[in-house]
Amino acid sequence: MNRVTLESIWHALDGIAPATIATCACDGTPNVSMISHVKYVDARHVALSRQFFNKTTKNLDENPQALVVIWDPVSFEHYRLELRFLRSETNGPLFDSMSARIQAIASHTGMAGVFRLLAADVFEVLSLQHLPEVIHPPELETAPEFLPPHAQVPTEQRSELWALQRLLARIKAAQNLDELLQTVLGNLAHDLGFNHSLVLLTDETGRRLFTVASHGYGPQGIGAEIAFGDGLLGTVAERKQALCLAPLDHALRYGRAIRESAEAEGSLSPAAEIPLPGLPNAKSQLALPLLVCDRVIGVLAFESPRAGAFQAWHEAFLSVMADQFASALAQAVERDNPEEPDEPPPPSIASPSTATPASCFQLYKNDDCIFVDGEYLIRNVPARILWRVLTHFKKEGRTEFTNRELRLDPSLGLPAVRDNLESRLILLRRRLELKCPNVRLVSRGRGRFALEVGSTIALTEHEST
Amino acid sequence: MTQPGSSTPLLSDEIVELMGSGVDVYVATRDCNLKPESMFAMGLEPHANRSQVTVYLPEDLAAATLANLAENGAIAVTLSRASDLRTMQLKGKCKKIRPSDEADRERQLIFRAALTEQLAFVGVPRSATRRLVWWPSIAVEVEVSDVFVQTPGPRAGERLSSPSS
Repeated sequence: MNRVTLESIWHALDGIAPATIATCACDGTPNVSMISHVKYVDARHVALSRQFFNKTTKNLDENPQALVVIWDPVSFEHYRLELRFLRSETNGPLFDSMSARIQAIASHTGMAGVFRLLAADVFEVLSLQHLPEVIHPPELETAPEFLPPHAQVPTEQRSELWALQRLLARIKAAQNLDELLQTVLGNLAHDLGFNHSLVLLTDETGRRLFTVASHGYGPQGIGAEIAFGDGLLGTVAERKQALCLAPLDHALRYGRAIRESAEAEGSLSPAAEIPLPGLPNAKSQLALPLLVCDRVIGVLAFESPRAGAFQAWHEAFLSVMADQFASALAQAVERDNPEEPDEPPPPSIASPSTATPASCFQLYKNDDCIFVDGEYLIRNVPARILWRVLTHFKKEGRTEFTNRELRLDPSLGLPAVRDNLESRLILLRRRLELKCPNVRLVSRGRGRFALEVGSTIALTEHEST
Repeated sequence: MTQPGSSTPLLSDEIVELMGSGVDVYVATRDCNLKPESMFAMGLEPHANRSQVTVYLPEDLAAATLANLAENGAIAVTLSRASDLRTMQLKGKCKKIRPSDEADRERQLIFRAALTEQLAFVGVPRSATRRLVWWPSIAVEVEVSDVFVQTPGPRAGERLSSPSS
C-alpha cells in the first residue's frame, strides 16, 4: 500500500463521490452506511455531514472507531481512512460551510427547510491508505474521458499568478459595465478553460438575482432570475459563501432520494423543483458571491460537464478575482451616475425603415411585462424603461435619451441609490438582440443612449395576459 | 418461503428485486476490539428460504473481513442502487464461508453486468466498473436477522422486517 495524504486525494473528498462509513455498536453489531460528504478539514482531520440521527450516530457515541472508504471519480482509485470520532460541531465556520452546501442541494430538489445539516461530525484520521488492489489498471482507451480543461494559451503562460495578473489588469482597464462583464467571462474561458459562466446581479429588492451576462450558453440565459436562498446560486447569495458541487448529479440524486422518501411518508408537500440554469449535463458547478463591504451585489457561477472539473485552487483563485471583480462592478455602476449630462439630449427625429416587417410590442400592465411579436421579451424595471423609450419614440420621434431622465422618472420605480440602471440597460440590449434585432439600444457615451429602429413598430397596452 | 409464524418473508419481493437491479454492495464486519472493517462485494444472491443470502467477496481484498467473520460472524450488508439511492441494510450472522464455484461465477457475471449498466446510468464509464476486482471470489452465506431502510431521508434506520415481525 502506498502512503498518501489527504491533500493528494482532494478529488475523492468534499462530496465529489459517495462514500461508505462502517461503525460498530457496543453489542458488536457492525453497520455500514452511504455518506454524501467527506470534507477535508486539515491534514489530519475530516468532517462528515449529518442530516439525520441514525444508527451511525448512535454507534459513534458508543464507540468512536470508524472506517471510511472513498473513491476518486476521476481515477477510480479507492482509499480507506481509519477514523476516530472527536466531536460534533453545530455552529462555526466548518458547520456553516457544510450547511450551505446541504442547503443548496435541498433547495435544488424542492426540499428547502425539510432537510438540513444537523451537525458536522469531526474525525481524526488515524491512517489513510491507498487500495490499488481494488481496481485493475486502466486500459489506454479509457483515459480521454476526463481530460483537463482546454485552455487556449500556451502552458508557460497559464500559471495562476500570471493569469490573475492579466485578468486584474483587464478588469482595471474596462471602460464600462458591459465591457467589464465581457472581459472577465471571456478571459476566464480563454485563460483557464472555464467555458460556461454566468454573472448575476442583485436587483432593486436586494432579495433577487438577475442574469446580466453569460459565456458559453448563447443569449438565452440573459434575464433569468432567481431568489436569494433558492438553488445553488440563491444559496450562495444568501449565505455569502462560495459553493462547489461536484458531480452535481450525485448531489441532486441524494436530495431527490430524501424528497421521495419524505413524500412516500405522506408528511410533505415539497415546493416545485427549480430547474438548473445552464448545461443539461452539468456534473460540476462552482459559484461565488460578489461582495462589496459585506453587501452581496451578485454571484459569479461556473459549470462544467466534467466530474470534478473545479479543483481546490480554482476556488481560491476565483475568490481573489471575485473580490476585485465585485469592486470593479460596483465602481462601474457608480461611475455612470455623476458624469451624466444635465442638459437634455439633442432633439432627434426618427426615420424608421419600412423595408422590414413591423415589430408589435405588447405591454401587459398587471404582469409588468412586454411581449414582442407574441414572444415574451422582458419584465419589471427593464420593461418599464423600454416602454418609456418606445412611447417617446412613437409619439415624438425621439431617439436620444439619458440615464438621468430615466432616474428622475418615478414611474420606472428605480431606487434613489444603487439603482443598477446600467446593468438593466445591458440586460435590455441583450434581450432585444435575441428577440427583436430590428430595435437596438446603442450607447452614446457615458450616461447617454440612442434607440435605433430598423422597422416600423406598433405598441399596444393590455391589462393582463 | 416465510418465517414460522410470520405472514411475510424476511426478504420481501421488493428487497429481492432490489438485489437484482445492479446495486452497490458493501459489507461491514468487526474484530474483537469492535474495530469496524468494510469492503465492497460483487454479487448478492437471496436463498429460496428468503432468510439467507450469499454475498460474494473478491478474494484478494477479503483477508481482514474473513478473519473477522471466522472470529465472531457478525456482518452487515448494505445494498444501494445508484440511480435513486434506494438503499437497504441486512444484519445477520455468517453461517458458512466457501470458495465460489462456477455456478457462483455465473451469478456474479449477471450481477456485474447489471451493476455496470446501473453505474453507467449515473455517469460512471462502463470501462471503469469493469476494472473492479471481483474474481476469484469467496462466497459468504449469511443468516439474515434484520432488514433496515437506509434510503436517505427521514425513514433511514427504520426496521423493515425481522424474523419475529
